[in-house]
Amino acid sequence: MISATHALFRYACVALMLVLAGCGARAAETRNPNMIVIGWIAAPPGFNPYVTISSAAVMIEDEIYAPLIDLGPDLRPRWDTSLAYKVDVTDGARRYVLHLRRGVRWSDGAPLDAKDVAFTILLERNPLLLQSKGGDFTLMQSVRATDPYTVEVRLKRPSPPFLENALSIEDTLVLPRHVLGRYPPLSAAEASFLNADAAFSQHPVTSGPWRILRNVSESYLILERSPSYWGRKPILNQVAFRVYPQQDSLYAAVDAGEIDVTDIPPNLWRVHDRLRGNHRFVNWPWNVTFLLLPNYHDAGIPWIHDVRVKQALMYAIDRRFITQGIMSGQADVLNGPIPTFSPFYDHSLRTYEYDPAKARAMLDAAGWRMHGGVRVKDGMPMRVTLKTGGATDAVAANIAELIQANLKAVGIDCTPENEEIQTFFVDLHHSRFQLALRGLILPPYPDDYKYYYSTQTAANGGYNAGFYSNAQIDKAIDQARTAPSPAASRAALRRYQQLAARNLPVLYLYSNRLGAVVPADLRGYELDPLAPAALPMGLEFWRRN
Amino acid sequence: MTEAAEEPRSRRLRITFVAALGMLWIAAAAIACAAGPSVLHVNAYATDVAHAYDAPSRVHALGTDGLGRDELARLLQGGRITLSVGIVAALVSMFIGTVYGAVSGYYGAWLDTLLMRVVDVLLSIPTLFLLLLLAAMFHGSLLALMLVIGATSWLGPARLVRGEVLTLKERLFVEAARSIGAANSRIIFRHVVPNAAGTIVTTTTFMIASAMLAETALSYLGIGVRAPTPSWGNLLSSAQSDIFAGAWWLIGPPGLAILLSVCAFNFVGDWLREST
Amino acid sequence: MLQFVLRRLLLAIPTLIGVTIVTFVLLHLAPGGPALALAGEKATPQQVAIITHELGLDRPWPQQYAIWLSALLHGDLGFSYIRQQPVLALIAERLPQTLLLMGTAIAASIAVAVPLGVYQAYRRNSLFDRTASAAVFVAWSMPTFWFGTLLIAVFAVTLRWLPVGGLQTIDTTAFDWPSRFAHLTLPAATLAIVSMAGWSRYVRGSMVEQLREDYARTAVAKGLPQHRVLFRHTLRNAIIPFITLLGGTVPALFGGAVITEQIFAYPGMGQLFWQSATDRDYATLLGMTVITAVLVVLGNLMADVLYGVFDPRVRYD
Repeated sequence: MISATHALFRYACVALMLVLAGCGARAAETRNPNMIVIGWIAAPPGFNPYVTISSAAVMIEDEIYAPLIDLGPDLRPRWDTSLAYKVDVTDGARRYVLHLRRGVRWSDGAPLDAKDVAFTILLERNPLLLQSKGGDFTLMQSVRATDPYTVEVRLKRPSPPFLENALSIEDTLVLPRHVLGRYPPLSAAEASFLNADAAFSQHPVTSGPWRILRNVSESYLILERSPSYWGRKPILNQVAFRVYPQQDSLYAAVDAGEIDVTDIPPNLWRVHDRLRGNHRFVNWPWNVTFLLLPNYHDAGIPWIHDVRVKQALMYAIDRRFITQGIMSGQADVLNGPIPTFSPFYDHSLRTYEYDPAKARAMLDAAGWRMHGGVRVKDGMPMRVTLKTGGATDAVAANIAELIQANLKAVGIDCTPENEEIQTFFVDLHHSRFQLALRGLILPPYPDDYKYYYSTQTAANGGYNAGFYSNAQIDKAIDQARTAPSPAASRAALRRYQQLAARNLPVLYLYSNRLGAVVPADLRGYELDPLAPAALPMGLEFWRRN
Repeated sequence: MTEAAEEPRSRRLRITFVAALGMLWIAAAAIACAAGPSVLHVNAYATDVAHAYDAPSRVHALGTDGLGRDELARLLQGGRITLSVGIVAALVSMFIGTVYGAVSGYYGAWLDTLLMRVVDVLLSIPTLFLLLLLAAMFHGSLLALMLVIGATSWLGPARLVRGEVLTLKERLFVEAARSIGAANSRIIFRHVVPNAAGTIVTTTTFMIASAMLAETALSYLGIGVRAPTPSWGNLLSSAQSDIFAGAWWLIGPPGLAILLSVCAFNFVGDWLREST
Repeated sequence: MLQFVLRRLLLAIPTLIGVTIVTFVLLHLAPGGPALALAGEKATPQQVAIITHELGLDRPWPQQYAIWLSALLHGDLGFSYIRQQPVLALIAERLPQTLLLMGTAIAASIAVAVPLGVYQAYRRNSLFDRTASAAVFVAWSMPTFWFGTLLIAVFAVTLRWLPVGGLQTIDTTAFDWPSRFAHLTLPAATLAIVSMAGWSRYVRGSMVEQLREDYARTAVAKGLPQHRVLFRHTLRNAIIPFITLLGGTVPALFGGAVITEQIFAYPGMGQLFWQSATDRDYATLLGMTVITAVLVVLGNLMADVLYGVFDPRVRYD
């Protein structure tokens, strides 16, 4: 006997099914099929490049702001897309004169001139800005606008990396002085104002090929072609970015046809050919290296000072499997501080092939003898903890576990310790680790000063968290970054690489590659080793066949 | 609570089919995980990179993972961790909850109000942040995880035990104990709590189920059991993408193991609740 | 009644203050801090120290708390530096989305759980009851992220009936109901299935208990048809404890669900909370805790008032 309520319930269920089915027809259309949608796992929190930090933010900022000096995928300046169409380097590489284009306008109509450039170069060195360059004026002597379209920067000493590392798109995106220049330059008031200026962060005034049409925070963003752009206008009218915080949902979204372009992480690269739809897969090197950073001040691992032991470790770790197996080919073995694809790489560098037998022989020769599964010397066993940060990364976990197995096979007891990401950074900063798995984002022009120079410890404002100190390497780094001519600098870089490959300040593991999926009919995308996010860039050149 | 006459004892102890299945599964899983790795001679930690991502075969009954490790061994090893985290966390939770609820319910009056208000405050504290903080502070120790899951889930049991105690304290045996001058604490813990045993055991069983699910969720967020220690939770979350990548032997078994175990505890708990 | 409400509201104030103090202390106990998170990976200790000072984090805790509290009393929930927005704006953005999602999930859950539990009680120990119980337990035992990803794999990827994630179609700014509904379906289903399982068990148990009561048996013995006994009398009594159970969902109603929101790319309060916790964004965390706590207090109060409305035996004085 069915009651009224029960019957009602049945009808409601049926109605629900019908509505759902009806929605099914519309539901699959979550976007206009003519618009290209790029998917990413993080949303840009804001668009002031000197206040926000986020790969997503940098990605968008690179599109909406015109770069002072644009860099191409070959890491060299590209003048026809730069605000500065010409740079004169004189006075023994101590004086840079930037010639700016005329007729450039901000999105609010105001003209862009040398004062904006000078303002920005000073602004990014305000030490109180959240993403400041640290107030480092040891290199720059003066910056001024000599006329409305010329900026002169004077350095105290020559610096080969200066153009690519400090003035390029990597570092300097020009901001509008007429909007943000309300306080004296380099003042605390200026920093306080900018750090909390939500109005500009969310609705920036820009000068690039794109501008933000709509931004729904944490959900999606639509860029449209900027009508006031001075250069070659983008071919596409609009491009959309969608946020999927979960990597697997991102992948599912491509499979479901909801997004067109996204990165393919290593664990999915293995099976990417199963994706349905008309896709092309691209793969390119990335200027990011991963290495094992030892702590030279840790008393528990005295053997780290012995170069023979470090070389043995390089032979003991199966880096080939890390790159081809765990990373599914999305990585290249790293032989030194500079990755193999870089124009600065020295091809005559020695390599360390995977050879556990050789590793064991070397360790024996260094006086570490096997004793019950672990090598011992003078009563001290070879034990080490390997710290990694961020527990949701299966790839990093696998790498740590592989290293553990590799080290065990040659008689070293290694314990991986995975930490929550903020705790990991704290421990890195306070040098509370023995070995840490660390990734470095390299600048366009190689400069390892802050990482391995003996004086650049954390206390002195550097990143030498492992307290590495080697006079020869110090000298090579110095020569590379202060040489008066490009040729001399390159020669010094070669020397630095040779020394580093032999003396091993760190254990070099691999340099990343990136993989992405794009629609098969997409053309004009750029595969940039300096890409802020693992996506093809060069949006203004994109077009569909 | 109802004042209906007590049900005849013979009716109460009849076991249901699903509850029996549940108990069988729990026993089987516990034995397999405890003794399995040594009996079957499989190693959860030995890597074999030449045979990574192998489908199930005669050599590896459940295939291998990304580093060539035997998946069956990892599943059994993980089971030890997940089951023990579930049981210990539930015991911690029940212990705190029982003491708190019993004291609150027995004494009543202002103490009860105060303790229940404290519960309200604790309910408003963001648990997830607390879990993140504790995970960060204790560097992923298993014991800390068990204590933490227990410490953040005792509020429900406390309320249930308090409810039971409120009813029980009006019963004759309590009057009798008081009249002979027994101390309050003695009355609570020697007389009242044992009579609430039914509720306590039932709730413990449900708490084991939810503690196991909590471990899974925390491992997914990265603050549960950390690599290299396997647990069903982190085996499942690291194999997430294999739903799309086709390595069904990496995602199916841990998922099923969790599902069946949690189900089993829930069935048993339900049967206990029906029959006490 | 009015006195009761006022008294509860007054008691809520020290509760709220207690909650904020505890959260504040917890925040400062966590390793790392907003300065480190803001400065990012490439930060030097100098940079971290500068930002620490700028954000006033090097002041003693009680002073920091006092500053925050006085700002709060002026209506200022603070500024999230890492998200470059005022905290109030962030919450105002996310709260409606969460209410929509959680509200839909809870409504769907009740809509299935109550009739199911009642019908199971009506036909207790039948084949339907036993099968439904087993199915419900299976639903109850599934890890959320596994179930969610499975739903995506089936309904979004294979069948392409529903979207993988997001709020609605990205082309329009208008609130597009059909699109919203489609985007809500999978996340709400993931959430609803688990809670529906627990509730249907509860309703069933409660109903069975009521049906054993003397008054119910008497009514049936007197000749009233069973379904009338069911709905006119016992259901009303069985619902009362259920409302208290619903009261327990109020924090989730405003707090959202982290894992589900992450999987389905649904920008809600849960995800904001988790990201803020990972980023050590103190301002946002404290702001969210306050707003959520206030809403929970109000929600519980409303539940208690409703309890009084349904159950004439309950007297508030």
